[in-house]
Amino acid sequence: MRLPSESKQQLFIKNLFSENGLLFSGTGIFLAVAGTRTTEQAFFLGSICLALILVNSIAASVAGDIFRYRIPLWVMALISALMLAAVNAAFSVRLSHLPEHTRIIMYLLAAGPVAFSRARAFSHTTSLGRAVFDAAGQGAGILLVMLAVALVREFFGKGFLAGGQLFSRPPWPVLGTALGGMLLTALAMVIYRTAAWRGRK
Amino acid sequence: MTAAIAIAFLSGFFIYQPLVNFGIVPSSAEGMSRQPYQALGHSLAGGILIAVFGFSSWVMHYLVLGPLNALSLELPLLLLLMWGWHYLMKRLFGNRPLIGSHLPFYFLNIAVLGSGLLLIYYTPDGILTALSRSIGISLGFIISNLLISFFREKAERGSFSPILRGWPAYLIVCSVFWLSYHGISLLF
Repeated sequence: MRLPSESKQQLFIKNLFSENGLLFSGTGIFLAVAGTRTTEQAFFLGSICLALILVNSIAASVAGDIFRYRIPLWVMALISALMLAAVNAAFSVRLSHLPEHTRIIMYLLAAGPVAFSRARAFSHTTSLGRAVFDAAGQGAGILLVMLAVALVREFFGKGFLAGGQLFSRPPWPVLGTALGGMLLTALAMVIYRTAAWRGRK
Repeated sequence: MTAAIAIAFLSGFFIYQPLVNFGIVPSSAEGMSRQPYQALGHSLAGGILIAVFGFSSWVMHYLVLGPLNALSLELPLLLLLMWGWHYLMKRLFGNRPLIGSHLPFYFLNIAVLGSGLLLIYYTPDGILTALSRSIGISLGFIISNLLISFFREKAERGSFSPILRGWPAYLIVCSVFWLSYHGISLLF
């Protein structure tokens, strides 16, 4: 819940930790499950997701604050698709070095609620400054969770840590598959819920 | 030829559906798979859209955009195609609550778009193979959603602690199904 009395910094911190979009409501969960095979992939996809959330929120806030106009969902999705097509053209070499399906997962951001949820639910009714901090917190929160899941997946699934090989044989190779993405995202949510539950007590 | 089409169908069913292939979990599926009746409507709406959108996106990619050298416009055009099919589905099934009430979830849906993209990138052989695989993917989506909902209805209320209910339980059930589908896919 967002209150008008909350400062920009409070909005940012809230979206980053206590109301993290991915762990709190499952927004963008496909990114954590499918886009975290390596930390490089997670960083790439998470950064693009953060950029899309920011652009959509800024556009929604400007349109709402200055022109009293709510941008339709289909316009936002179409503009996001054009931006993703441009990213694909600009980073085509880098994308070919990332794990399989990275391009498909990136394209899916055009249809995922994660890119539009803040713009539709919050940004169009608030000032530009607050919308930017709120969107930055949301995007950075998702990126942090993705990096955490990717780090564990890479460590156990491939035996890598921070780009260097630690084990000649990965301790638990199955975590490198989609199964690992599902189990570790579920684990991240359980840890988050336990921490929130203890915090309330 | 018949064998190739049959294999395309089976691989679509077991391997190339987005959940099995790379773990695409649409947000709406979590809420809709709590009860089998809801899941049936949700799966049918999604399954029909996956079949028609998947096949038409393959046709658009290989028979229209490829020859015109306009693949850079593919993603925006795929979204327009999805909305076109969504509109037609609303006209056809809007007054049937079983399917019509679930159509708003498919205005923008990653499972539908993901199925189309998987079909484009992993089925370059021929039009019949693409058609067969898109039907396979769509049936795979319907069956796996229904199985997940049956499992969740029986297990989630009693067997999972409150902290696991909702998304964590859904992901655990999905991972069990991923394992079983993956095991079957190793036969191909």
